[in-house]
Amino acid sequence: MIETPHVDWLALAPTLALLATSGITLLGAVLVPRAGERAFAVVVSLGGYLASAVLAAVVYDRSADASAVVVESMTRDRLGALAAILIALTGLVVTLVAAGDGRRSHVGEFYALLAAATAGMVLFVSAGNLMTMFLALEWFSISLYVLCALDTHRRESLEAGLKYLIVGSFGSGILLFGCALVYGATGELGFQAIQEATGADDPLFVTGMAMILAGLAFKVSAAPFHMWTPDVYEGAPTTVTAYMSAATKVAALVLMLRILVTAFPEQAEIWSVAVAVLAVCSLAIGNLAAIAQRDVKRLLAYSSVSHAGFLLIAIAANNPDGGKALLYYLIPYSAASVGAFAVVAAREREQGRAVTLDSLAGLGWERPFLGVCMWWFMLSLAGFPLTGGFLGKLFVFSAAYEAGWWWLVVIGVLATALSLAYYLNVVRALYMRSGQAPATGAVVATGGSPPRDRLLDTAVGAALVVTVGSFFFVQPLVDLASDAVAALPF
Amino acid sequence: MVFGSWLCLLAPLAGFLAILLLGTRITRRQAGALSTFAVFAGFAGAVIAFVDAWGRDAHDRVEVTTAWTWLQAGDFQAGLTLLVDPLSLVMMLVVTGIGGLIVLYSNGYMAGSDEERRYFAYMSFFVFAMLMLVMGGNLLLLLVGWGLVGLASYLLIGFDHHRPAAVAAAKKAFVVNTIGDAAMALALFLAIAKIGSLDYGTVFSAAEDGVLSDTVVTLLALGLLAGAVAKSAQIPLHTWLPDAMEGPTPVSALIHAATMVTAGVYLICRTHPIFEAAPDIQHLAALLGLATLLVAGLVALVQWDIKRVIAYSTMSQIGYMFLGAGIGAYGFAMFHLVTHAFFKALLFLAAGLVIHHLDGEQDIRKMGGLRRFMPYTHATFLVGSLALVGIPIFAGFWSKDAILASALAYGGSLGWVLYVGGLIGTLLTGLYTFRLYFRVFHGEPAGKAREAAAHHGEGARSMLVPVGVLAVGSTVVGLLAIPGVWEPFETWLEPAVEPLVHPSTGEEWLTSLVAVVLGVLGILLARRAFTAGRELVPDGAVRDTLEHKLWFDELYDAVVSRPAQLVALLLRDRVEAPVVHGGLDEVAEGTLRGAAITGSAQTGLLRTYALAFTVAVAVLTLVFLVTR
Repeated sequence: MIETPHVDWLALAPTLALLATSGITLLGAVLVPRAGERAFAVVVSLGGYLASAVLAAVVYDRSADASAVVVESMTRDRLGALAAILIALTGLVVTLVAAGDGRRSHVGEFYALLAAATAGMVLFVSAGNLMTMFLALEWFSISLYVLCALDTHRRESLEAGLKYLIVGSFGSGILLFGCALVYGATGELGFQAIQEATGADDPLFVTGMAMILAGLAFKVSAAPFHMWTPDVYEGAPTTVTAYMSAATKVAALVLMLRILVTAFPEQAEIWSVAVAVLAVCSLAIGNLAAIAQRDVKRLLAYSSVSHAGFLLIAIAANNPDGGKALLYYLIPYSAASVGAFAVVAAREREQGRAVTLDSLAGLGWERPFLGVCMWWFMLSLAGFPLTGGFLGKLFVFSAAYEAGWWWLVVIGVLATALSLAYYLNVVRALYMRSGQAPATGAVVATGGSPPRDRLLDTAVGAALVVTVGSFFFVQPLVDLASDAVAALPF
Repeated sequence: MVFGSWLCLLAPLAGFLAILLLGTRITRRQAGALSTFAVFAGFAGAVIAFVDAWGRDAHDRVEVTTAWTWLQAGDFQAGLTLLVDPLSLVMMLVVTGIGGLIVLYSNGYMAGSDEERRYFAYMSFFVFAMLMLVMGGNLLLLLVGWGLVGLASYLLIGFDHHRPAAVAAAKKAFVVNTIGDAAMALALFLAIAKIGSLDYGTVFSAAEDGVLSDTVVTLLALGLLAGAVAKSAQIPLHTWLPDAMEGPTPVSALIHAATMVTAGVYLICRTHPIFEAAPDIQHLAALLGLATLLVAGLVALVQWDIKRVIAYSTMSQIGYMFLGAGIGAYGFAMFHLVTHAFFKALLFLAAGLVIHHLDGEQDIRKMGGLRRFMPYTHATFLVGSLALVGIPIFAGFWSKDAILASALAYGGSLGWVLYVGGLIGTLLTGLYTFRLYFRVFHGEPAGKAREAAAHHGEGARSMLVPVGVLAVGSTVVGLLAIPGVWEPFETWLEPAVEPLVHPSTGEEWLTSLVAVVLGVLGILLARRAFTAGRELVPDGAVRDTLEHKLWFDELYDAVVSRPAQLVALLLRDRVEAPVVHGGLDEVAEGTLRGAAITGSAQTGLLRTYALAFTVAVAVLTLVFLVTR
C-alpha cells in the first residue's frame, strides 16, 4: 500500500471551495438553460467567494502558530489566510461588477475562470515551497491570460491576451529558471529548508534569487518589468482589469514578502536594496507616465505601477512594521482600485466606448453616487486623510524610516505629490465640462441613459465603505495585519 | 447616561446628514421638521443623561466613554472620547433645549426663503459641533468642536450669500475667530510638547503639580484665553460680533447669543486648573470682561439697528461672565450663561418677530408704537428686557448680582475695580435696554409700523410658542439660585468646578440692592429721555466716538489690514509671480516633458518589452553577483 501524506483539509478548504465553484459554474454553462446561465453563474460564484472568505477566516482564527502542511508544500498561517480573505472578497466584488456587463458569449466560462484564478491565488499566497509556488502561479496566470482575451469580438482584448501570454510566459520562464538554480545550489525546494541549507555565496544561488525576484516583480508589475501592464489593462475586459489590479497585486506581493523573508533572510542586504531600487523605478515611471495618459484605464494601470512602488517600499523595509504596512495598505488599495475600475466599467457600458478623461466629463452630475465614490477612490489612491490610502502611505513611510531608508521616504513623498496631478485630473474631469461640451441632458436626448445597475452600485458602495472605513476603523485592521505578520521570521 | 450622551451628540449629526443626503427628495417644510426633531431628540438624550446623573451620588456624576480608539501607537492614543459631567450636562441641556426652540422658531421665520434645506442642515450641524465642543473628552476634541462651530457660524452668517454685506461679515467672523483658534492650537502644541498628552486629567494635574515652569503655564493659559476671547467676542477680538448680525435672526439668537459665543466662558470653567495655575492670566480674563462690558454697554447706547443693540448687550453680558470666571466664581459665571441663554434668545426671537412683522426693517427709528399691534411680542420683549436689566424675580437678577457679589467678596483692589465697574455696567444695561424698548414699542407708530399693522399677524404659531416658552424660562430659571435659601445650581456644579470665592448671603443681598437701584435708575433715565424726545447721548465728540465703536475697526484696518495688504501686494509682484510661479511653471513643464518621454518608451511592441525585461534581469543578476 502506498503511504499517503497527511492532508490538512482546513488549510486547503479556501482553495477547494473556489475550485468547486469553478467546476460548478462551468457545468452550469452546459446544463443550465441559456436564459438562466448568468444568474446561475453569478449566484454560485458569490456563494463560492463568500464560502472561501469565511473558510479563510476560520483558518486565520485557528492558525495562531504557523505550520507547514501537506508535506511542507504549503504553509498554514495567518499571513496566507488574511491574503486569501482579501483575494476572495475582491473576487466577490468583481463578480458583482461583472454581473451587469452584458456579455453574450462565454458567460459560464468567464465566471469559471475567475473562480479558478482566485483559487490559484489563494493557494499561491500560502505556498511553502518553490514547486507549489510555481504551480499556483501558472494556475492563476493561465486563467488570467484567457480572461484577458475573452472578449473575442474586440481586437484589443485579443491583443491584450496575446501580449500577456507571451510576456507572461517569458516571466514564468525566468521564475522557473530561478527556482531551478536555487534548487540546484541548495538541493531544497521548501522555503524554510532553503534558508537552512543556504550556501549564501554560491553564484548559482544568488542568480536564482535574482531571477525569482524578477519573476515576481513581473506579476507585481513593478518597473522595469511593468511594460505589459498598460497594454493589458487597457485591452482586457474592464472587470478583469479591476480584478487583476487588486487580486494579482495582493497575491504577488504577499508571496514576495513571504519568500524573501523566509527563504532568503541571509541575503537581506542584497535584496532589500534591489527591492528599494525597483520601488523607486516604479514610483518614477508609474507616476510620470500616468500624467501623460488620456485613457482612464491606462492611467489607472500606471497608477497601479506606482502603487507597486509604494508597496515595495514596505517590503524593502524588511521589518515587522513593513509587513504590517504592506498588509494594511493592500486593503484600501484593493478597494479603491476595484471601485475605480468598476466606475470606469459603468461609464463604458453607458457609452459603449473606451473611457477617456474627456468622456468621463460630467459623470459626477449624471451619476452623483458613482461620481462621489470615484473621487473618494482617487483621494484614497492619492493618499488623502479620511481615506485608508492616507494611513497606508503613512505606515509604509514610517516602516521605511524605521529601517533607515529616509531617502526612500523622500522619494515616496515626492511621488505622492506628483500623483496628485493625475488623480485630481480625474476628479476634475468628473465635474467640469469643457466650454463647448453639451450641457446636461445630452445623454437623455439620445434616448435616455441606461438604468442604474444595482449590483454594480452595491459593489462600488462596498468598495467605498472599505476605502473610508479602513481610515476610521484602522486599529482592528492593523491588529489583524500585525498578527498575520507575526507568522514571518523577522 | 452613556446612551443619553450619545443620543444627544449623534441625533443632530444624523439630522444634518439626512437633510444633506436626501437633498431635494424632501420638501423644505420636511427639512425643517427633520431638523427640529433631530435637535429635540438630542435634548431628550441630554435629559436622559441628566436624570441619570441626578440620581447618582454627587461625586459619581462623571462619565467618560470612548466610542472607539482610532489609532494607538505606544502611549499615544487617539479616538472619540466623551466626557459627561455636571458642567457638560448643563451645556448639553442649554444647547439642545434652547437650540431646539430656536430651530422650531426658524420653521416659521424662514418659511418661504430660498434654500431652507441648507439652512436647516447648517443649524443641525451647528448643534452637533457645539455638542462636540462641550462633550469632547480631551483638548483635541474640544479644538475640533471649536473649529467646527466656527465653520457653522461662518456658513450661517453668510447664509444669504447674495448680499455682499453678509459675505463680508462671515469672512470677518471667520478671520477673527481663526486668530483665537491659532492661539489655542499653539497652546495645545505646547501642551503636547511639554506634557505629552491632551487629556484633561493629565494636563490639569501637570498644571496643578507645578511640574511645568511658570512660563509654560502662562503661555498655555494665554493661548486658551485668546481662543476664548475670540469666540466670545471680548475686547480686543470683539469686532466680528456686531457684523455677524447679518445672519438670519434665529442664527443670531442661537449662535451669537445663547450658545457659541459663550463657549469662551465654558472653556475657562472647563480648564480652570490651568488658569488657576496662572493667576495673572485669569485676572486678565476678568479685566477684559470688565472692559468689554463697559465698552459694549456704552456703544449700545447709540446704535440704531435693533439687532446690533442686542448684539452689544450680548458682548456686555458675556463680559460679566468673563468677570465671574476670571475671579473664580465659576458656578455663577455658568449660571449667568444659562439665564442669559434664555433671556437673550428671547430678546432676539422677539426682535425677530418685530423684524418679520415689518418685512425686514431693523432700524429702530422707523419703529415705534408696536405695543398696540403686537401685544404678545411686547409682553415677551418686556420680560426679556427686565431679565436683562436684572429686575427682581427675573432671571438676570439672580445671576448677574451673584457675579458682582463674588467680586465684592474677592476683595482687594482688583475686586473693588471689578465691583464698581460691574455696577456701572448695570446702569448702562438699564439705559440701553429700555432706550430700545421704548423706541420700538412706545410712542407713535412710524412709517412701516403703520403699514404693516394692517395686514400682518404677529407670526406663525411655530414662532410664538418658542418665544412664550423662553419668556416663562426667563422668569423662573433664576430661582435655581436664591442666595442663602436654595442653591441647587451651585451644588450641582460644585463637584465639577470648585469655585474660588464664596460671597456671604449678606454681600449678595447688599449687591442686589445696589444693582437693582442702579438698573431702575437706568430705566427711569431712559424713559425720561424718551418722553422728552432726546437721545441718551447728545451729539458731539462722545457720540461720534461711540458711533464709530471707539474706532476699533478703523484702528485694525490701519494697523493690521492695510499693512498686510501692502506686504501681500509686494510679495505677489516681487516674489510670487517671478520666483514661485515661474519656478513652479518650470517644474511643471519639466514634469510634463518627463511624462511624455516616459510615455513614449511604451512602444506597444512585444520585442521592446522582452528586451526591457531581459536587460533588467541581466542587470539585477549582475548586481546581485557583484554585491553578494
